[in-house]
Amino acid sequence: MGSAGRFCLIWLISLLATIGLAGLINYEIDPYDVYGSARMPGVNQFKAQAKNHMMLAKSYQVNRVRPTTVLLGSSRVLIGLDAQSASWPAYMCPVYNFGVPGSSSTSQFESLQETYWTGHLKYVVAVLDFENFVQEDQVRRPLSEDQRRLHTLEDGRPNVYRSRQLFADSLLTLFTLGALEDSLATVLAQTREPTLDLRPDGSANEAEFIRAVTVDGYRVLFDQKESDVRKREPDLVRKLSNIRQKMPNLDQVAKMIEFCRERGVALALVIPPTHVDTLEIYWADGLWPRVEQWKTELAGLVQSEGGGLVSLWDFEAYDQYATEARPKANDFQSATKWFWEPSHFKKTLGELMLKRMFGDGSSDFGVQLTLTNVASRNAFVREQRFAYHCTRGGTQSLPAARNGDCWTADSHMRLDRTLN
Amino acid sequence: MLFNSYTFIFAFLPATLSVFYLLGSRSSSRALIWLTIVSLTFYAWWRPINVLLIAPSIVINFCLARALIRVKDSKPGLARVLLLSGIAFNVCFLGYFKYWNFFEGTINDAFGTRMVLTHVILPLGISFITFQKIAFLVDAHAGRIESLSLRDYALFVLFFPQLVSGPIVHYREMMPQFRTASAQFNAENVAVGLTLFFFGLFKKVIFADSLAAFVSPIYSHAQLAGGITFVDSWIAAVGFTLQIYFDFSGYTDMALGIARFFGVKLPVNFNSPLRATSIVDFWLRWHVSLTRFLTAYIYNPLVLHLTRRRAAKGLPVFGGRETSIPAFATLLMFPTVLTMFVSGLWHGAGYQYVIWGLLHGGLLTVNHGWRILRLRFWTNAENYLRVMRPVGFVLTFLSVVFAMVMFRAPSVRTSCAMWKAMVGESGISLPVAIFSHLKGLSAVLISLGIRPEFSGGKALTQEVLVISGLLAITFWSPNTLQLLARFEPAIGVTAKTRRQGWELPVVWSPSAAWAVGMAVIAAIGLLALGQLSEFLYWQF
Repeated sequence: MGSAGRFCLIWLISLLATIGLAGLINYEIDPYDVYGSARMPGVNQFKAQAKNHMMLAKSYQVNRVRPTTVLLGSSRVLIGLDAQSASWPAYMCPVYNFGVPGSSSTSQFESLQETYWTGHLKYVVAVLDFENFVQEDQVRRPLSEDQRRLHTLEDGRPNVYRSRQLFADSLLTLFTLGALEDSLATVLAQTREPTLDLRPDGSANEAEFIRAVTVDGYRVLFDQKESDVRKREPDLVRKLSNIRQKMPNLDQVAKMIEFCRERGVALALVIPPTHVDTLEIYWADGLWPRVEQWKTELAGLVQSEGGGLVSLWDFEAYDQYATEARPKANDFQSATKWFWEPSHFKKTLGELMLKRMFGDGSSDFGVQLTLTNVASRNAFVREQRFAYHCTRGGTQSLPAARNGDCWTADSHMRLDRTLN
Repeated sequence: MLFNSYTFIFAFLPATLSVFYLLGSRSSSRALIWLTIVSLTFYAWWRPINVLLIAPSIVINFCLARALIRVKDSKPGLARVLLLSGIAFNVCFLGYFKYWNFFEGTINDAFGTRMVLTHVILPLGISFITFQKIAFLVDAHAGRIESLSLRDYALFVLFFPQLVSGPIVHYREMMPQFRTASAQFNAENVAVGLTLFFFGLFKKVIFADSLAAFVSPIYSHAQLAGGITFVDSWIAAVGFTLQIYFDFSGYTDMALGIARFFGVKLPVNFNSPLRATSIVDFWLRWHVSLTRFLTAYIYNPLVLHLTRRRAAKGLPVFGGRETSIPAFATLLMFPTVLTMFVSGLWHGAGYQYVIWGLLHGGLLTVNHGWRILRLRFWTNAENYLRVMRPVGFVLTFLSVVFAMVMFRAPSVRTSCAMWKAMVGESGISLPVAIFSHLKGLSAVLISLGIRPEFSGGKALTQEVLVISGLLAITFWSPNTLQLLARFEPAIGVTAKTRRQGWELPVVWSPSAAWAVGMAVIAAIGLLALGQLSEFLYWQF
């Protein structure tokens, strides 16, 4: 064999060896927790890069957990609700957290279907975000390779192309440079304190928030999030101004209810706690009537379609948790107890939610909404806001100053007129 | 089917080569028929209707060429008519598929008419194929092609390694290779082919595609929202120049490599153009086969025609340093600008491509003018080169980068916005994070009018590092032609091919070390195949 022939042979052997080695590394490190490879301290204990392919990771995790209960929602659920909490009754365990950042009502329904087909699902806790109900979901089709699921197709039918999907996922997670980079990044991240982790139960730890507040302080996080919300608001207002009757996307919730009812799965719909800074932006931009309309329509939907298997919980109020004051400007030391920033509540508050819903139920935090009590609940929250502003000095408080004055009977009447 | 796709690399190419070598071991003629069939399959893969569109054009050109060869000596007048008819047919063919909507849109813009733009299917690689066919007819008319069969002609036009994006090849440089090729497995050809192919794949998927990740969002932002910062505009401009550089360089290497598997050498098409020391030099290195075509079939005939006309009228023609301004304008500026106008239009049916071509026409004219002018006051060539080579290099690089903005921008308006940002019209700003790291130096920056802006510095730092690294590779790393010069990677490239002098002195050999190194490069390229991305030149 000449030198060129030898070159070709060595090249081929080296190529196969290199690609094989890359696949082996990716399998062992398993950066997206697809294979459930052993988590070794200092090597791959924390899945810091799973965030890059969240849907992919969750499809495989949920398949391994085969949960009795699934948590659905956005990053608030992912970070704020603990699937391992002691508050879960034994009959609801194991619990899987299917929270995915930025998830819509449509994708929550898809996640529900995916989980159902794992075989043991009995309970669903779906956390709903008001901002997902300002316009119909614009879902991109077809889904990208790492957004596709194992058990169900995009339209909810059983996945008849499962082998093809498994092959494509193997290719993506074992034999791509992106996976190799993420494997390396996973190993490097282990020494960082704290390290982001997607746990086997689907929950994420709060590492990114802890790091951010350690570097910048809570105040900066609050300011940044408020700025983000304010940027989104004109768009929300514009979209909502086009709505004359029913709030958008409720049909997705109706589908979820129908799906659960037909299969005897209990569903808890949850309106999560939101910090007063965000609530006040809703007020200032005239969105509050829409928030109340949304809650009322949800309560109506639960009553008409729920068949006794569906409950609706409302944790959004001007209570002691949501009205927690943000640190003052230039205060980098003070910490908040219940919220990381106006949108994301901490696990401590998530724990109280779980206790309230599934624990002893003694707390007055949150209420179960029905068509009977939704009006009084809305009025109660308005009263809470009134008290909040009067306590803080009415027009002196930042958001209320933009809105005129502190809550008056006249304001109640204006709001009632708007709602009717 | 893209060269950088799983289907091509793991199915189409191995299957094609296996059958080719198998047939070639018995009969090279059968192997070449197989090559023609798979080339047609390759072309049809993207959109089968492409074959139906292009096939009649091939047959018509073949018939015209056959007739031309037959009558070129006996009936020169008829031969000329046949040639002009053939050129007109090919130009109209290209014009309809590629430019009809652009033409109607321009009429609408100019006269306020409301002609409805219809969707016209653009056959893949039509610009390349059309130019190749025109060159073929001209060569047939000029007597450079003696005989021809439909099988040979079909293989010449359809040979898949260069079918979609060139190089634009001549019949006379391809057919002798097909005729003499043994069509059997040749380890040296495969070793050279593998090296070229995987160097190309690496350039495309690692360099070009990673640049696209941050270049495209900036251009999109400029188009949708405007308000591009000074730093972002330069990142996007230099980033895209490097992106298309590595994209086209990668494609060309892959084309050379695939052809080499079949024992065929393609002409040089890309030779480190960003190392050029003048715009003239740039066009001798960038898309060499297109420059060769435009020079041979547009520029030279035009200059010859104009020179004869001026000479017939007794007007001065070209005369070195004594060239008059009218002669310069008529015999150099006009043909150059016109040729580059065609080049721009060839690249795409859009105003921005036309302006890009005209810009390069202007730059080439200035370059030529300077060459004539400097002879009058700077006669010491050695001294001139020592001083002006680095200056020319910098000026050429900046000119290419500036012009490339027009090439990449989705509209002329966006391009102008980018240019304004690049010259600092809306001020210069840097991320506040960078200011905070600079500490004392930040006061100096502020005194220079550089403002802090509220954005993160991490992304900018990464982008600058990537661009700097790739610029270093562009300037100092030997290109594949230089690396493989001993093995004639392209037609005419030999071990004696001159190096510029500033490249690292590395040469490829079929050694074990190179085999392992190339395997790692190939593995990285293959692992990065996850996201398909088209070659930029495939759209032309």
